[in-house]
Amino acid sequence: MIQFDNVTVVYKNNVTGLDKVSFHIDKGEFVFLVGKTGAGKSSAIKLLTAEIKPLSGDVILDGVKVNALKNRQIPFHRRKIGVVFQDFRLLRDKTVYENVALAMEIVGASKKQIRTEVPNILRMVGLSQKTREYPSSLSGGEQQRVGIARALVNRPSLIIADEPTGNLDSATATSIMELFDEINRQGTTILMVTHSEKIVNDMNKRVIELDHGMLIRDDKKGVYNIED
Amino acid sequence: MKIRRPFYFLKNALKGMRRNGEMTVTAIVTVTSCLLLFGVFMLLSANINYIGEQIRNQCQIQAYIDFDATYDEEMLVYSQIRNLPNVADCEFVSKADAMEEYRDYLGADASAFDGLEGEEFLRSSVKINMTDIEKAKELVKAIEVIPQVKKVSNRQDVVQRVVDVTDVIRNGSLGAMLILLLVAIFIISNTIKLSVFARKDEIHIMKYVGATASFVRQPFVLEGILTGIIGGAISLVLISFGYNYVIAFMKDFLDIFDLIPFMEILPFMVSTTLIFGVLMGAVGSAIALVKHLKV
Repeated sequence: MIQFDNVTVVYKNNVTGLDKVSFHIDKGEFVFLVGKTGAGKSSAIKLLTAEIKPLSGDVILDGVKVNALKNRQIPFHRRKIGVVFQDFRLLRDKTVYENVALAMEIVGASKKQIRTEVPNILRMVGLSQKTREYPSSLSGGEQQRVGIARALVNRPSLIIADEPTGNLDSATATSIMELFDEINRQGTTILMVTHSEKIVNDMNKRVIELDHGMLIRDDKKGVYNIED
Repeated sequence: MKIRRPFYFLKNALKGMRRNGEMTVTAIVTVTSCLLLFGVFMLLSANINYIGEQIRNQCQIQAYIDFDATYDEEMLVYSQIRNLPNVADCEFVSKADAMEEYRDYLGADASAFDGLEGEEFLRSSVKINMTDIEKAKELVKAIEVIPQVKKVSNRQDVVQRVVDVTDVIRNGSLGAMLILLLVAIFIISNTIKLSVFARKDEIHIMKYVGATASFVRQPFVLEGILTGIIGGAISLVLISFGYNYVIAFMKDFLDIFDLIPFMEILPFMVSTTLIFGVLMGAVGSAIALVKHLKV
């Protein structure tokens, strides 16, 4: 599903983002990507979403070399990935329904498909009663559920979650993690960046740790184990 | 750029304009101001051309015939002139006609000539209109060699000077219009940049969800085009009121030259103003988006 092959990223200011990193993630896996600030987690995500290109090495997703994509191919590549952000990134002037529908409009889905799929996905994330609400009237947890629904609605094969519980209290974070677990059980691969020791230890999933751009740990059923 | 689902984008563009109300109003006011100035220069340039044409048409050569020539000799001169190259048309002015013209010119003071006839002191003449004013000198030379022609008057020098001045004003207006167009595109692209900046999160999210560059661009470009059309329409209304006022003023106080009637220039003004409005909006918004499309 995901293959990093000896990937090195060096930014314009000569800072090394990743240093000869190699790993492989199978379809349907749930993987935590952990490490201190500046360890290279964001670089790994940006490589997958084709925001940056590696200096050397290959990033492969579903058999496609992401670093070899042409600019016009990138939007279609991104449709295979659902991204969930720490700060939710919802459009304030669109309702819950419209925020989720936007993702389908962008890929050119028909009105009929949108009318069927959006309520389904909102039901799945537990927001059936909030479709007409605006983000400002929702709690943090509810906003993140909208973000998850938006990431899921086009049925991507991979969900990348960048600190999805970073802005949420512990109880809400747990319920959001249950939702991710449910999504994963239905077959979607999940790659999650987090600084939450509790979440990583509770979930008991695979953990990949980066440090100074290098892969220093890859545990099948790992724990957080980083001194912040 | 291919427009897919035009109504979807039109709806989004209108929504965007409503949502960013203040920014939309600023953009429309900017476009209106630019197109208003643009229209003024355009009218100035068109009217300078129109007046230049009138001045050219007023450039006549007048050939005076020997005082002692008989009527037959005068007619011979007239027919010789008529057959010369570069003569569009010509008119024979007899001594009596000349007297009549002179009396008309003097108006109330004409009574001083009471009792006198033109035959006693005025010459017959031929008034000549040219097909090509630039070749006036050659024509004058050709007329001067005709026997019985005593003098040829030619206002071509004065007229040429006026035509030169009108050329300068016209070229100046065209230059000003070009500069104005560039300034307008710059201002509009900056105004739209603010609107794009206010919605950069939306663009960012759209790019993350897999929106193509043209999908992101289309509503903004449509917004630019709609802004151009609205600004163009407002400026046209203002210009039409202003121009009709100027025409009325010129008729009342400065009745030397005619200005182009408004209805005659309206189709040109409407098409040019709207084309430039649409162009400004579309190019301005496309420029404004360049940076934000690189995610």
